[in-house]
Amino acid sequence: MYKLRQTLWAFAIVPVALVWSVAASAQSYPNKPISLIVTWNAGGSTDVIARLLADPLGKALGQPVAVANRPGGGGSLGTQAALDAPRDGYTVLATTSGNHILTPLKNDVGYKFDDFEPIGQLVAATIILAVKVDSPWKTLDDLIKAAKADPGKYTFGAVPNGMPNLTLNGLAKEAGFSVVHVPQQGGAPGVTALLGGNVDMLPANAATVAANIKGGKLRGLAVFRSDRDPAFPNIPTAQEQGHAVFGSPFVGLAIAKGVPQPVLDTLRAALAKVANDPVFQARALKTATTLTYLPADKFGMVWERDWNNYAPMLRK
Amino acid sequence: MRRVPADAWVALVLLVACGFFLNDLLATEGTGAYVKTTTLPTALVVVLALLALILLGGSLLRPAARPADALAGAELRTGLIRVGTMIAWTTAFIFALPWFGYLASSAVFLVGANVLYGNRRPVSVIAIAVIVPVALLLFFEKFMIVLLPSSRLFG
Amino acid sequence: MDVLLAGFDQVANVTALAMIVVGLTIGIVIGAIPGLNVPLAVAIALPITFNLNPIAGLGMLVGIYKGGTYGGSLSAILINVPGTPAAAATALDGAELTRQGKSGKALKMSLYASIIGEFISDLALIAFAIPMALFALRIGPPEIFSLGIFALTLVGVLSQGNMIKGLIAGAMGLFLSTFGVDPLTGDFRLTFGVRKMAGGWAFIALVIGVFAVAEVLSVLERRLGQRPLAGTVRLSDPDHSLTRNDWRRCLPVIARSSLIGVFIGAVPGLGAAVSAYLNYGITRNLSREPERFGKGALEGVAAAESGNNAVTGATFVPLLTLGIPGDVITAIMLGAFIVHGLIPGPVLFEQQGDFIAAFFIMMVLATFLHLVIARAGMAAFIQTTRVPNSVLFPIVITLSVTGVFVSTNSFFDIYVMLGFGVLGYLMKKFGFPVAPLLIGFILGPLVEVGLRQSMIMSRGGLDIFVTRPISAVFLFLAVATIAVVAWREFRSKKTGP
Repeated sequence: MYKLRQTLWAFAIVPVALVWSVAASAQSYPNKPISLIVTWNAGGSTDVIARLLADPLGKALGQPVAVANRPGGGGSLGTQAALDAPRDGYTVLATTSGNHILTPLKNDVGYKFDDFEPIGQLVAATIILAVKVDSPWKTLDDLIKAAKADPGKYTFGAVPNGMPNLTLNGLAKEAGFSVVHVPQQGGAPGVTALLGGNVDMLPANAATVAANIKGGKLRGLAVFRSDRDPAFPNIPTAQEQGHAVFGSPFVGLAIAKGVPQPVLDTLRAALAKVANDPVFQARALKTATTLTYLPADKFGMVWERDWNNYAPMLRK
Repeated sequence: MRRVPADAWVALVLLVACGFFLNDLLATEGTGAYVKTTTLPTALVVVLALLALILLGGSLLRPAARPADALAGAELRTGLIRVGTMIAWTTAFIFALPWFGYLASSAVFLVGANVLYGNRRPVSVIAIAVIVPVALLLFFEKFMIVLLPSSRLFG
Repeated sequence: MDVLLAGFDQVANVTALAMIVVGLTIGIVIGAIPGLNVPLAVAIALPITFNLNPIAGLGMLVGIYKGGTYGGSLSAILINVPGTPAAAATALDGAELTRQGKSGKALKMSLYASIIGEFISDLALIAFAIPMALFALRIGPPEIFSLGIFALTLVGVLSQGNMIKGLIAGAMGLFLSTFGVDPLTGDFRLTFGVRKMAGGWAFIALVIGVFAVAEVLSVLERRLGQRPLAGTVRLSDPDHSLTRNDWRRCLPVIARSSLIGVFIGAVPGLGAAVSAYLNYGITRNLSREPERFGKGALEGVAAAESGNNAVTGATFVPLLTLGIPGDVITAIMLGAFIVHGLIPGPVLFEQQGDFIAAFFIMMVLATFLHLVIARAGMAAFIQTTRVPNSVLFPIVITLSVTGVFVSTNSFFDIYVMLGFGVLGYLMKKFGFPVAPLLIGFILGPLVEVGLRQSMIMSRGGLDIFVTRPISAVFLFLAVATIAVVAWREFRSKKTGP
């Protein structure tokens, strides 16, 4: 009898412990370090932002945030990893236009943009169309005229199917000219190609070409935003020059759908807090990336807008 | 019947692999201007197949002598068994990582690996199995803030 | 002159010096331990530098970079497992020297060659940054392709005496590099529907598998549990000291390899491993006694080590002058510059002379401290030759698994590492040289991207490769190397085995 009693008590502990641990983990999120997946290589622009974010975000959440690089497959490997992880809120994705919108549209990677919940956008980068400073083209118009006169003569460099590539394609279609694409392996190789005279023009993320534009080696012909970029006040928008073409790669945080609502709220609040912190803003400003914070709902709308925008260009 | 030399077997395996890859490549639609996605890989597979044929031919026509220090017979067999065991043991280790976490998996792995290598001193084995995983865990998780696999069973 | 003094001021403070020392020590340790990845260490150290002043922060990262590039040679020489891909060429002769009981010679030559190479690289950066940058810009897709082809002919050099198998290994390496994503169209290629293959074979999984794991398995097969040496190894022993003869042979090699290394460093996209192998191959090809290579030729160690360390200073040329990072590690360091508001590029170079001067001084200082620290630590490192394999190698496998996971965060990649380990082990068993596999894998993307971009630029014409002078020179060198290799092969077959 005695032993049976003891055994029964022992069994009673189990459900109590389970309920306790579930309740505990739900209440005290986060109670262990959080993994922030970056789908591109260390040192790239996304990685720099992520690492800049990790420290203050960790402090806002009360647990360290560890950056984990998972490059490959145009960003699909890291994105898939964020979906494979347990939906407990401990795996966050630093997501960009490339891995979130463009790659799934082009390739069969097994996920779509709405498999994720947005946490918030951090960056909406500027795309600049750059040429060498000694190029005969001083304005966007010069370039378009020349390209129309000799279709297929001029070349441009861009990472295949990246936002800058698609934006230039959009411009070419809208203005009615044709140029040849020389695929590049990244932003920096593109700049090398342009400086070396191996391509005639380069649509690129502002961060990649900023140094050389400021240094007088490259000239920016247009930016593809609705208003001028404050960091480059002398470069007119494409719209100003008569071509309403827009493209803006984003960087933000997302998490797989199915995470409990309180966890989602905690993450969203923490990101908002960090993004509005002047110290963080000052640091991010130095990276020549435009810090454009958008809360979760607006970020989600950006996803939908870009998905619908680029689907016809990429879906075969 | 002359024994088929080892090189010939290797060449045959290579040829089969080449056939397998060639099959996949020819079925893939290559995109790209001038030189397509599949051009270079296909060319490489063809080159590999040709080289494998030369190897096959060479090994059958002019069998190379065995190197003087090659293992043979029973020694070779035990050596191969050890290698096979280590491969299986390491596979088990990798498999265990997400379930049992880093500390437990590497500690158990190290015990087995030490024994396979001939370290029969229990004190040394246990010491290594405890110190190394703990040191690595501290180094990575505390010092470098990089997460190692944590256990799915025990959290 | 006062620019120089102002720069000196920035460097000559305790924090900066301490950070350089810390960086060097971390770099050497991480470089030496197989499985641990130097670029990852730099990436992880990056946030620490945010709170330091720029020179101190960059000093630490530069220390990790320099130390790490050298550190790989330690394990390459002592246990035949390169700690970094760039050290794989060092292992070819270095490990053999250890087997002959002359590890001290190899370690010393490796260090001195590395330091001399580094120093020459620093000088080139300081004195010739802008002309080098302008020259580097002339290396476009056709030149990269031709340089890649030239570097591939080294596969032939390294396979002397074993030509067919070496060529097979090289072709395999090239083929393996095509798996995953097509670098120019973004299409998936050879993935067989396996989503995890979308990234291709992880480079670190291949390197660690083919070198570390394969070595561990090979040694296990032969049950070399104990190491032959007993008693303290003293660096002053004659077997471990460098003689005048050694220096006489190696100094010209070091000079040449350093210059070639500087060139390779200044061209974005090539890297230290390419330099190490290229220099090893060139030295072997130009040597009057090529058969000594692979059997403990000290010149082989000298060529590989001065070659790979000479890249370290020169990679800053495109970064500082044009804002273009030359390799993975400088790409990460770019982040460190940016966070401090220093945008590398023409503006920085022309307008912030005192920072640039401080940076240059810091580089030279780091090289000097590197020599001091590594030489001091050598007596300790060399004692690892006394640790029995039965203790060492299980730790090596654990480190390999850990290292791959930390770098890739993927269990699939750890299995890939194991797979490559088995492949490397089988290759060794059946007499296939492993170095060409790595060379093919590294050079594959360079050659393919160079070829395809050039074809687009020339609209399909092949003449672009010979009408552009630099490209033509590389192609000529490639043909010349093949000729020498073929002649030597033919001659050795004639004189018989």
